[in-house]
Amino acid sequence: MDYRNYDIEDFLQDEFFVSWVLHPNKENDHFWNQWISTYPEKHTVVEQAKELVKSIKYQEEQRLSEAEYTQVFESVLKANRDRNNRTFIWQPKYTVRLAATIALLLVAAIVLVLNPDSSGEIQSVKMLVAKTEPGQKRTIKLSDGTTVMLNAGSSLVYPEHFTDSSRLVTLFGEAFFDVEKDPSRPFEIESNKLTTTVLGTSFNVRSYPEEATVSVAVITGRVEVKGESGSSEILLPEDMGTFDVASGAIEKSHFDETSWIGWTKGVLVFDNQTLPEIFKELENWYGVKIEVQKGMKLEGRYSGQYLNKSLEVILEGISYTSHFKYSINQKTILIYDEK
Amino acid sequence: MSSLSHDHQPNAKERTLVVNADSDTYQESEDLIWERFKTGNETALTYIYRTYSNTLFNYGCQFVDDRDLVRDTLQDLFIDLINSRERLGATSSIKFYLMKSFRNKLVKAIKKSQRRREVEDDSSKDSFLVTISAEARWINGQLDQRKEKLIQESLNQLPALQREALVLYFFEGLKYEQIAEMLGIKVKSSRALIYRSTESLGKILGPHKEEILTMLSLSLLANQ
Repeated sequence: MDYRNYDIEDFLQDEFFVSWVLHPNKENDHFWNQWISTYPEKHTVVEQAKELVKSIKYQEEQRLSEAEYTQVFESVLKANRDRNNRTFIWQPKYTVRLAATIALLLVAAIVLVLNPDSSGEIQSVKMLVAKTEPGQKRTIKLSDGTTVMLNAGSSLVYPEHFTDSSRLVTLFGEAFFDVEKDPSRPFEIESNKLTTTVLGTSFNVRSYPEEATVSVAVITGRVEVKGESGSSEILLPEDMGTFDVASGAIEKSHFDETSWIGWTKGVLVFDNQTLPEIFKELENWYGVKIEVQKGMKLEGRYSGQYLNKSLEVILEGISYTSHFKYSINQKTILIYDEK
Repeated sequence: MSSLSHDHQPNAKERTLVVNADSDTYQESEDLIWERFKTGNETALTYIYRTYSNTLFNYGCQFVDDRDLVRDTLQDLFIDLINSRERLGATSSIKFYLMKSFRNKLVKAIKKSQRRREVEDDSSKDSFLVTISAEARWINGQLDQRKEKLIQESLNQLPALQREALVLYFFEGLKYEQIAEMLGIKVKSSRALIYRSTESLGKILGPHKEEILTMLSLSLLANQ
């Protein structure tokens, strides 16, 4: 394609040009910036064409109102759940599974007949603890199919097998839950005076013991949160409930997905936080100890997002804007004054 | 120092994430989201609804001045997609797939409601009205308000189908091939529709084009 003889109409008619203006990405940005710097005399006509593309809009923009948006969304979610629960169709693979199950039952029956003493044992519920140290993350699969991703420095207490009537777990720290749907057995999470109850959804719970609040951020489905003192709130997708441990009050708001769920994808987010708060996060995320020089004042706030970055990269950035120096000695980091 | 990076092992679900390490953002490619939607995954459905419901609603409202009809059709679209999900094809552009299905549904629904109300009026002259409003004015005010208005008027005199093709191309960012498929015409015709519209843009800018370009280059030089 020879763009050198292109006039404004020719640019407008070119799909590759228009898609660069509307949806710039690494590839097309690279091409067009390169091209413009090679033919600087075409710079103005490119700018004109670009401006013209961006200026074309519908005369009347319409948006769903918040009520319409939610109402349609709820019907759509319901349709999806109904569809997921519809009676299943017999497939060849089920025949194989059925045969395998019968074979297993036969073996079990034979074993029981041969060892009559082992039958009739009362099963007690065995509790398990999954724990992550600072610097670790871990995904656990529970007996009902629910997956729990534990953030650093957290633990989850759960039964080896759930009973027929309830699914109860206890969380210390932060975890992202993707709860398997089971309307007959609600899934409950106890965390620092707050109980979160759901049927089948995905959401994040942050409840570090040293923090004054417990936060529940919902991605899909419907979640009920209940404080020990009786306060409660229903949370829908994009809602976040913040429970004040001291007062027992629950505040409902929207949340930024990257800030709250980013950690499950390796994104470390600082959102206008003080340096002591940031150091605490870094200690937990990387499993290190951060020591601050005696008498040094830590001022200012800092925001940033890091995807799978090393600790040095992050410290390099923060120290530059916040004017401190640091030294790393194995698992201990010393923060000291620039002067 | 590698011991400091956390030792989290991605599980099967996360492996579908396409991670763009350069821009520090993460996103899942659309074809994978679509496949997950077809298995009944609620997160995928939520993503699709959140990303496209207002785009579709806005597009639908350009056909007909009846919010309720557009909203109900939007809801029907999602529910029908859910109920026929294992028969849906693959797609790498969810937006195009949705817009195409939505358009078919909406056109039928509009016809039905007009029959019911026994109106025969062809209100297409009010559909897909466009506006021209540049964010940054061209240097020396060459795309000034007068010129914007002129372009806008000439565009709005085009037939409704041509205006639709125009906004699908310049505003929704669809390709010639997609526009053709959507409007049920040949790719050659969809190109012709866009060419004709851009030519009328060119005509308005045309008489002074040489002059504008010279002034622009001069003012650019002066700014350097």
